[in-house]
Amino acid sequence: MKKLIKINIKLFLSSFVPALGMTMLFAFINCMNVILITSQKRLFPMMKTNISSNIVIFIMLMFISYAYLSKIKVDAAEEVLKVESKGLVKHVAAQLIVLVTLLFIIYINCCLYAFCCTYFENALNTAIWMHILKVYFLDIFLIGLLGLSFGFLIALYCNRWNTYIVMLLVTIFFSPYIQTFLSSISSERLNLVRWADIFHIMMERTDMGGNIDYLYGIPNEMQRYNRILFWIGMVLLLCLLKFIKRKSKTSATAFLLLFTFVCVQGVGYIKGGNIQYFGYDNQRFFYNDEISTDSLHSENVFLNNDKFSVTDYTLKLNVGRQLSADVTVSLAPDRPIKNYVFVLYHGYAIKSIYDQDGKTVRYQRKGDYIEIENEGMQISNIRFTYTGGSEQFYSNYQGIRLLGFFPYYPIPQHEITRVRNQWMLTNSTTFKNYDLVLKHNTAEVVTNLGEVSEGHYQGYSDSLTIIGGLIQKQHIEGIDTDRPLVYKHLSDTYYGLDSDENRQVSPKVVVELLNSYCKKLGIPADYENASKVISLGGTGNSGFTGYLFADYMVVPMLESPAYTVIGMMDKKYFSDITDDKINLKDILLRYLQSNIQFQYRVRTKQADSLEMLFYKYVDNMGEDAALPDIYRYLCDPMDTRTPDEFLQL
Amino acid sequence: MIEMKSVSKTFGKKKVLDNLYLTIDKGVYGLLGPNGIGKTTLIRSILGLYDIDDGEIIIDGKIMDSKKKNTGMIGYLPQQFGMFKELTTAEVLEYFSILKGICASDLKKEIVRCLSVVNLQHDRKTLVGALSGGMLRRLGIAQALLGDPKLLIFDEPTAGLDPEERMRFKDIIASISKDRTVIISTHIVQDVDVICNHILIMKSGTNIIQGTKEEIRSFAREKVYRILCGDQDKISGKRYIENIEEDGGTNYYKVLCSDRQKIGTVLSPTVEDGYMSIIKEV
Repeated sequence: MKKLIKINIKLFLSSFVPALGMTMLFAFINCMNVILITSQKRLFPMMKTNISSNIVIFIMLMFISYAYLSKIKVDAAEEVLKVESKGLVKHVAAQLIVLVTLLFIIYINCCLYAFCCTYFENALNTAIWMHILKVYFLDIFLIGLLGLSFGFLIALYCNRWNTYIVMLLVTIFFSPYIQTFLSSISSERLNLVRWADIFHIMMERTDMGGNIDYLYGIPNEMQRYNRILFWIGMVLLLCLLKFIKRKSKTSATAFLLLFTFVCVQGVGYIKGGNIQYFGYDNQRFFYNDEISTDSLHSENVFLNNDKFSVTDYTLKLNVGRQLSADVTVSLAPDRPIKNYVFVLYHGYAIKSIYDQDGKTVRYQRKGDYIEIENEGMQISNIRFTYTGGSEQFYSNYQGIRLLGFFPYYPIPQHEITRVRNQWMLTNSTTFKNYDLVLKHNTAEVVTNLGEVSEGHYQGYSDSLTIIGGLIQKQHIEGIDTDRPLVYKHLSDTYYGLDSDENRQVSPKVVVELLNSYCKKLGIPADYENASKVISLGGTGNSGFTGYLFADYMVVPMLESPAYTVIGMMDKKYFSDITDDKINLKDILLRYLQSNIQFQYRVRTKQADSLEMLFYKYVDNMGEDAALPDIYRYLCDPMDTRTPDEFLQL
Repeated sequence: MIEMKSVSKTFGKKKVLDNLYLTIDKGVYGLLGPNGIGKTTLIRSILGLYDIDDGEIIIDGKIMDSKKKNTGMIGYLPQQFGMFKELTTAEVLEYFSILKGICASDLKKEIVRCLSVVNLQHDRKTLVGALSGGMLRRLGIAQALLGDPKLLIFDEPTAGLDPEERMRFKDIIASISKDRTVIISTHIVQDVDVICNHILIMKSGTNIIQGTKEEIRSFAREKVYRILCGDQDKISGKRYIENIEEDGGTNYYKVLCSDRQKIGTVLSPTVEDGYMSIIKEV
């Protein structure tokens, strides 16, 4: 076989069309990568751009494969090879090995550029390299392999006249263009693009913005593997039909194996799982599941004012294709109440709910709310088992982003709410004991709890945050800091609020800024001893701006610290304010973030009337008195004066 | 030896081979028949390229089917023989040697031998794309000879060749036919007359007439007449005009006649005459 392959390599390199095609493809890939690596040196944007060109790889390899594999017909060699025992099969196998080897070289070629980029990004890390290998394996190698397979199929079945028509049809069906077209003509009633999802093998929407989730990296979920392997298997199955002999055990076995493979992949695709969806289905794209069911999130779903306390959570979480959870909630031995209402995100399907004796409890579920009947008033523990996921707060083989304010585990109704489409813990949230056993396949996992042993975490907190993916644990200036692996250098000094906001800063700067702003507003908070800062890096298109928990914080990037802190404070301290006070709140926060810019607006007469009133108020009373006063006004639901009325006093 | 017993092969609704019986021993056999009668189907069934619907094909005591195809027993030159133009003649033979399972130690020697038989030994580094039609066909013969198979089958080997190449082909066959079975399927009867010592005439999918050259000629004994052009209407019985000849400015028909004729001259039959007599049922 080695000699057959050697002669076929020579045949490939000597054949004009295949050799020229492959040369052009290599030139294209290398030119593109050289331009990318010299222009931006950012790993994930570079990988994304690289992957966006995989349609070129698909088409070129389909054509090259067709030109090479059809030589046997063009050169009239088919019959004489067929006569030899397995002659045609050996010949075709040798040709396919040559093609797959060249494809593998393309794959390694692309990976090498990405590896170089890890050097520039200061991300020399095995987890990043594995991520590169996996992403390019799916989005370069397997896409190329599908192209090769189609070329093979066309060489077997098509004649000279219909070859190019078939190639064109294949290109249209598997390119982003059919997706874009169907998306443009789809409506809520008739969603055509959903049916075309099976053809959506290329990752990225071509019209999407460039935000990347640093912890997740480039999407590389199992369902995408299932989809493309389904097609590769299907095409190869059709190719195999050309070689099958009647009453041949080998043929029958090969057919059955490949057929089983296709079915397994098909089932895997249909089964789906939790993914970061970057498709063309606008009804699904971009965390619409969070927004479209908002009407079900009303707190009036279950009218229940009975409050209860949870003392302990025992969680066994298994993160595979999606989250599989077994959570036991221990209730405080307060007076028993008739119904316990928990919030659990509607994307998790409940399998069972038991009491402490293993008896199934009666419950109702509406959207994110579960009302459990306390028959006989005897419940002390409730055990929930459920599976599912959310696209924004994902949990799958590739990454975990389960933030403590998101109800991925059952949280008492009074401890969590939704304000302006965002989940938030209320002021009624109490500290609990958490005992977590976590099974996962991500590169690294961090939580706000302490790690007892591998995969086992314990702690006492108001919430439980679990982050898994391309993350690293660090200790920076006395603060436990978890940061993405792909991250710029931290700057040595911080030049102040109006400096270059793109510089990464120490988490200590964030904590100090937070304390400073709280002090200015007279908020009695002390984050000096924040136990942990979890930085998520770029969070894709989630729009996450940061969140303050009782004893830790989760922030996006560690650059633009003022912006991040203001975002967290907005959620933490101003979520309950009435709508008519929002403008004044925004002015206050802008002033805090950068009073120099604020004053510039005033001096250049760009400020509106409310901003001018604000400026005069602060100027008259002095910052030390004015800011806390404004803060108290904003947070006082009993003060129904308009902002104008308040500021004019 | 090849034995075919009650062999049938159908394509769709058309039964091409129907309950065929045939025995072939050592020697050079010419397989003749009109276009579309099933010669190529017969050959491909022997080779195992087609699964027969009924019957048995036994080669040297082994029953042939598409699973046990050609384990080095058969060398084949198809009607449409081509090879990858980018390879040299030596590389082509090396390729086929590997496919035929010739062991590495014998490979070079075997390639040199086969190239010598077909007189291409000086063209071992010539690219296939640079070979003439005749040279390409000789390369095809060379690959058929690899491994020294006991059965050689050539399908229309001389079609499209010039007289010189055809002569060369005949010389090659003469040199390799000892202790072997060679089947040459052709519609060029003159080639069969010179090369072959046995003739197989496929009259239909069910009927193959087999015999020596003499036996085939005897089918047309005293049936071949040379008649003046214009006298053909005077012929009694069934007739078939084979061709027209010119002799000393006068045109004559060569005619196959079922009955004795009073006009014209009786000619000694050739193999072609015998073939036409069988096919046209004169």
